[in-house]
This record gives sequence, C-alpha cells and structure tokens, in this order.
Amino acid sequence: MLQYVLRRIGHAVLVLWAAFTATFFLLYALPGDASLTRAGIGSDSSQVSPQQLAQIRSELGLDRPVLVQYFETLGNTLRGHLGRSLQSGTPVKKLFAESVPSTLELAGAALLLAIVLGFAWAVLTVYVRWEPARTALGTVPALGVSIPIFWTGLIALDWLSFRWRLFPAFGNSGFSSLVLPAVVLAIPSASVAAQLLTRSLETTLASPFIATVQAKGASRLRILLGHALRNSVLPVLTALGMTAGHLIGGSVVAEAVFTRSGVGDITVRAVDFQDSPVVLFTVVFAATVFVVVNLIVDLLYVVIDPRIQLTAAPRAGARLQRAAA
Amino acid sequence: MSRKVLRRGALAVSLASLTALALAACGSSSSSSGGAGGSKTLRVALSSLSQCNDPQLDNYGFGSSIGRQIVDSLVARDPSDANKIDPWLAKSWKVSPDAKTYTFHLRDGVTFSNGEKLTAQVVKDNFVTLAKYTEATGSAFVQGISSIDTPNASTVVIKFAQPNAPFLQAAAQYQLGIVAEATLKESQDDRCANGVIGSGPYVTKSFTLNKNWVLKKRKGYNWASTAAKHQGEGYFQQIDFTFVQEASVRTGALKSGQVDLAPLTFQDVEGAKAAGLQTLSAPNRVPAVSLEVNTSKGVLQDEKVRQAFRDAIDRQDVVDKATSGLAKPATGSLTAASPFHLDQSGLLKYDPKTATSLLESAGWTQVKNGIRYKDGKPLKITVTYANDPANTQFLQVIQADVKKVGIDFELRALPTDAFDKALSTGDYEVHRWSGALIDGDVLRTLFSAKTLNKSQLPANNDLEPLFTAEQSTSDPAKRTKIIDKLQQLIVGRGYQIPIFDNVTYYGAAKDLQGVAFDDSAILLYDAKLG
Repeated sequence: MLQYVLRRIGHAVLVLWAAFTATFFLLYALPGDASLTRAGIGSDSSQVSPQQLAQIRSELGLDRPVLVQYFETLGNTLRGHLGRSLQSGTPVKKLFAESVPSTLELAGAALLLAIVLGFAWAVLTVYVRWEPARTALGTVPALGVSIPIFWTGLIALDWLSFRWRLFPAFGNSGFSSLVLPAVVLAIPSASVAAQLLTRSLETTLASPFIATVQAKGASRLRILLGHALRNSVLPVLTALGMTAGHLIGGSVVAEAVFTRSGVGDITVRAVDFQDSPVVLFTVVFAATVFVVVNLIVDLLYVVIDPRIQLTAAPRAGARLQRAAA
Repeated sequence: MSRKVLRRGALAVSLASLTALALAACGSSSSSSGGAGGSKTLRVALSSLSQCNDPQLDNYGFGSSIGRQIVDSLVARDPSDANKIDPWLAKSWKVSPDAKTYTFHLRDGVTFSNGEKLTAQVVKDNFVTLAKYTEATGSAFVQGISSIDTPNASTVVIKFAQPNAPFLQAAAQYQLGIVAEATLKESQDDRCANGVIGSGPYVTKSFTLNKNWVLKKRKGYNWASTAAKHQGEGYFQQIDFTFVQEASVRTGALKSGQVDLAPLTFQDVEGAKAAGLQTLSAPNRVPAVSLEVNTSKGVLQDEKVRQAFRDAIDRQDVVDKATSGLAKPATGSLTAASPFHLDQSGLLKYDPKTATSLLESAGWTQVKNGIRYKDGKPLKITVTYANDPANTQFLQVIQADVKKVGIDFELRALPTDAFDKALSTGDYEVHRWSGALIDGDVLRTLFSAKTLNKSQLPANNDLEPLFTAEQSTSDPAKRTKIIDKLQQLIVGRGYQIPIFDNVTYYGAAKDLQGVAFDDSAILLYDAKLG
C-alpha cells in the first residue's frame, strides 16, 4: 500500500513537471509577450513608442535565451518563489491565496451537488417501473451533458436573479452567491454520474446474486440501495475523478458568467495578457487538483471493494478489471 | 464500512444540501432588502478590469473610473466647456509665452489621506518619478521636463526643454493626479498591486484584485475644484465598485436594482430606458473612432486608393447599424466634442461616385465578381483590430459599404496580445484606433514618425514641422490654426479615416444625480442618490 502511494506521488511529480514545462514553452511560442500588454500598446490610451518596448522587455528579463528563462523559472518555482504578476505587480502567492479558496468552495459545492443529484437521479430512473417515465428520466441526463454551462448560467441569472431576485447576480459574498454557480456547474457532472450509474445499476441488477437476494424476499428498494448500489459505484467513482478536472475547467466559465473571483477568472485574464508567472501557476494548480483527486479515487477503491489489491504490480490492470466487471 | 453507515452518510449529505438551499433562500431575501434603500452607498458595476491600481501608471481604465475619485489634479477641466481650465490643487498658475515654463501656486491646507501635506516638493517628486516610468500612460505628458524648481513650499515651477503647449490640459487628466510621497516611495509593481494614496474626495477602504473595490468618504475633504457643483465632502459614505464583464449581467443587475450605475452597450440603451432607468452619455473628446492607415505597404500606398476608401464608407449607415444610431458619424479627425474639432464633413461624406472615379483613375479598372483588379491583383484591404464584438460590428458594415465600389475589405480580428504585437511591428494595412488625449497634441502622438507613427510615415515627412510648431505655440488662436492644418492634411491624404464619434453610455438608477464626465473619466464627487 505504502509502496503504491509513493509510486503514485512520483508519477504526480512527473505530471506536474510536464504540465509546467509544456505550459512554459507554449507561452514562449505564442506571438507577443507581457511587455506589450504591460505597456498597453493595444489600448487606446497607450502612448508608448515601439522603441520603448525593448527597454521594458529587458527589465522583465524577456530578452534572455529561452532556456535560461526556463531553468530560472523552474528553480524559483521549486524554491517557492512564484514571482509577481507581470500585469498587476501582485505577488502570485497573494493572488492565489485570495482566489484558491473561492474556487475550491465552488468546485467542492458543485462536486457534492453532482454526487447527490446524479445518484438520486440514477436510483430514481432504475426504481421507476412505468416505462414512459423511465425513458423520460433516462433522457434528461443526456440533455444535461450537452447544454453548455454559460447558457444555463445566463438563463438561471435571468430568471432567478433578475426577475425573481432570489440570488445575487455576481460576487463571492456569502452562501447565496454560491448557489447559482454551483448548481449550474454541477449539472454536467451530475448528468454524467447519473448516466453511468443508471447503466451500471441495470447491469448489476441483471447479475445472478440479485436473484438470490430477491429469493430471500428483500424489497425492491432494499435490493437497489442495499445490494446493487455498492456494486455499481466503481465506474462512477472513476468518472467523478475525471470530473474534478472538468469542474476546475468549468469554473473558468462559471466564474466569468457569475463574476466570481477565483482561479478560473484569474486564468482567463492571465492568458489574455500572457502573464506567464500566473498562467504557469494556474496550470500547476489545476494539474495538482487533478492528480490528487485521482489518487484519492484510486485509494477509495480499496475501501469500497475489499477484493481490490493496490499492491498488485499492474495497478491499472486491476483497476480496469474491476471497472469492466 | 457497513452498509448502514454508507446509507446514513448519504442521508446526511442530502439533508445538508436541502438545509443549505433553504438557508440560501433566506440569505438572498435579506441581502436584496439591504441594498434597496441604501442611499449612503453607491453601487457601481464596471466593465473593464483593473490591471494596475494606479491612475498614473494604468493603461486599462482604472484611472478613469476608480482612480479619478482617489486623486486630485493640479487643475480641472470644466465638464461643460473643455477649453475652460479651473483651479483645483493649484489655486492659480502662469504659463510663459513660449509655453516652456509653467508656474503653479498650490492651495493651502490640502492633505493626503495618510495625513501628509501637499507641498511643492510632493508635486515635483510626482512628475520626476512618473517621467522615469516610460511605459505608463501618464509618462508621456511629463517627458522633456528640464527642471522643476520649488522656490517655496507652495510654488512649483516646471520648465520644459521644448515648448509644451498641451501641458495645462494634461495637468487636468487623472494620469497626472497627485499621489502622496508614501506612494512614490513604493516600487512600480507595489503601486500597481496596492493602489495609491491621494488627496481626493474618496479613499480606498478595501479591495480584492479584479473583484471589487470599496471607497469610503474622505472626512474633511475641502478642496474640490471650482468646476464641481458643490464644495466639502462627497455625498456617499461608501462607493462599491464591482467588476462585471458580461454586458447582459450588468444590465440585468441595473434593472433588478442590484447596482446603481453601470456602463451600457449600445444595444442595451433602449432596454434600459424602457425599464425606467436613466441613461447618461459621455461624448468622447478624443480622436474619432478611426481606421489608421499604414501608407508604407500594399494598395494603400496610393493616395487615391486611400481617398476612395474614405469616400466609399457610409458613416450614417455604420452608426445606424452598429451603434443603434446612438453614436454620431465622424465629421473630422477629432470628435465634434473636442475643443480642437475642425468640421471636415465635406471630406467625410458618403460619395461612392467619387470613390469609383478615383479608383478607375488609379488603374483599378477590371472588375471580377464585384471586386476590382489591377495587373491581376485584387483590390484588397485588411483591417487589423482587437477582437471585440463592438469592433466587428462596425467593421462589417464598412465591409458591405466598400464592396459596392469593388473593394474587398477583410477583417482580421486578433486577440489582445497578437494585436499589440501587430501594432508594435507595423504589421497592418489599416487598424482600428481611438485615442486618449483631449488636446490637439494627440495628433502628434499618433502620427509623428517620432512617436506612435500610425501611418508609418518616413522620418522626414512634411507633417513634422507642423507638429513641432503646434507644440511650441502657446497662443491659442495660432496653435488652433496649426492643428486645423494638421487635421486637413491627415484626413485629406487619408492617413486617418475617421468613422464615428464615440459616446459612452451609462445606465443609472432613477434617483441618482450629479454624475459628471470628463471625457472617459467618470466624476462621482457631486453624485448623490435621491
């Protein structure tokens, strides 16, 4: 077990390094750099002549060879020196200390909602016997997956904030401002969970041990919640691990629509202004969340299904076998 | 883990989320009632995010909105007459006839919000420091200062190496708002990150970068400019600015009473009026929204083609379709609201016939699929611009207009950084531009080969002597004549193709009064609710 965890952490470090490196060179390959936006060349109020740009570039160290910049940035990051935003001059640490909690709050609330809604919907879909209702219930998640969240977001704003004035339209102040973005962000993930769990429950309910439980006289609901659910949950868990990444990605849109500050919001602006210290950190942050959540998911497998042995060498093989079963 | 535990856990989770939703509903009802009657607080939604929280250094709109309330300038422009300069931190001033020496006499008893006194030394340090930060917006105004003397604590004598007639207008801008010595001691990065200490009617209370900004009233403020409608402290205890990028969300928040003041897109103006809101408009006094022409490459090297392109644009059509008829067709290089406006409507009228004959005389005679050709090459003009729906809209109307005379007008929308890069390297045929400085000197900033050189003119072009003369003449009448001449040349030769005079719209709560504008800057000192 310990050996397994250590190896996974080793993998995680590799993933983070790869994400960092890829981002660094992608940023470098893009046209333009932070000196242009810092001088505000594209804005109507800029009065900087192109000649002055060279000076700004050298002040920012952007005129040095790319490898020198890369290793210096990597070294600084490893030592915890994340630098300052090239645009606003704010230390990157401060920027993230202010925004990470808000994004985790949003993504966490959305994940919780996604699990509750997705599970409830799947159980309901399988429990209902009347075929038309069952089909109808089965179609809704497909809709939920395919509708983009900026659309649901704007519709939710229009009705729940502007017309009925139930929730504030923007901001991060208090719980009421969290409800709309969390619900909107949860819809696609909840739909995926509902789809997977429905399918998985149907498969489990068709397996022989269910017949045994039925023969012992258990009620439908008891069979569903007590016996089938636990045996059907593993593929959903894997999907929820992936969802963590989607939630961080989705928070970019949700934070824009609902004017929440957070990592997504910072990312958009940093990319727009080629604010490389900030972009680098957002990528590393997103990769960290993804890696950590997936590690937790893998560890949860053992808890949910004691038959799984994590020490087995072909780790992914064991996991895949169970997921396919 | 037993089955029971799992199930109980699930129940707890669903109960918790139900409770949470119920709580949320309660929370929201109390927050909306709290916001409704709060005349002590003004709530403003802003569209552009602040990138640097310093009005002297920012290039993206912090200064014109929040910064303007925090800092005072030496002088003020009268909102009703841009040519009239009023006292503010300076109670009087003198400009030498050669426009090289400016003497300001400071008002007594002015303090910054940290308690520091306003002295001649502080003013001097402001300008000296700003001159060093060359990429800052405000820096261009204080370049070329040869010396600043402070004969006593309330007198500042600024000497320029070359005549600098536009400086008095510049001194009214928020970019030259005076900040405290404590702010000047900080690094450029720290100033951007932390904001500044000023002597203005409102003081920063708290802020979260790019989320919101809260100002509180400066107690004891007693040095408003005479251009203001009242004296003494500001009317609000607090002003809350929130950054809301989505236009539809800003408008929705205005209509549902969640904010009192917010910029509107042209498309939202009618809807806001219908919802019973006030709509305030601020005509821009800077150069008209224009296409700046690169004369060094492509088909636009030919003056006749430039003139034909200028004549082929139906400006009324552009403002009707792209701005819901709210902006005005351009009638000159500088907008009609500019103190240096010269009526050039004759040059800017829609005249497809002249355009056609100009093109034919320039040799663009073959026509294939509606596009003109010369020596097998199509008559194609590409416009480079920052990708923004408002830009795309008006450029599409132009595209349809000029197609009628056989010009293929291609739109090249670039993300901000790529657009910046294209401008700085001259990689454009025409690009969309407006401007920032109210003074006629903006023409020199935009078109002189020594500065931004929008038209990529050679260094020895015949406009340069006029630019030098404009800068060195302090006699207003003579200077206006030179600026008139410059406008005639710039529009006449098709260096700049003015399209429309922009106007900024704000939606405001019914009972909000006293909001004023100084070009793009919003002045909230006289504002009050009810």
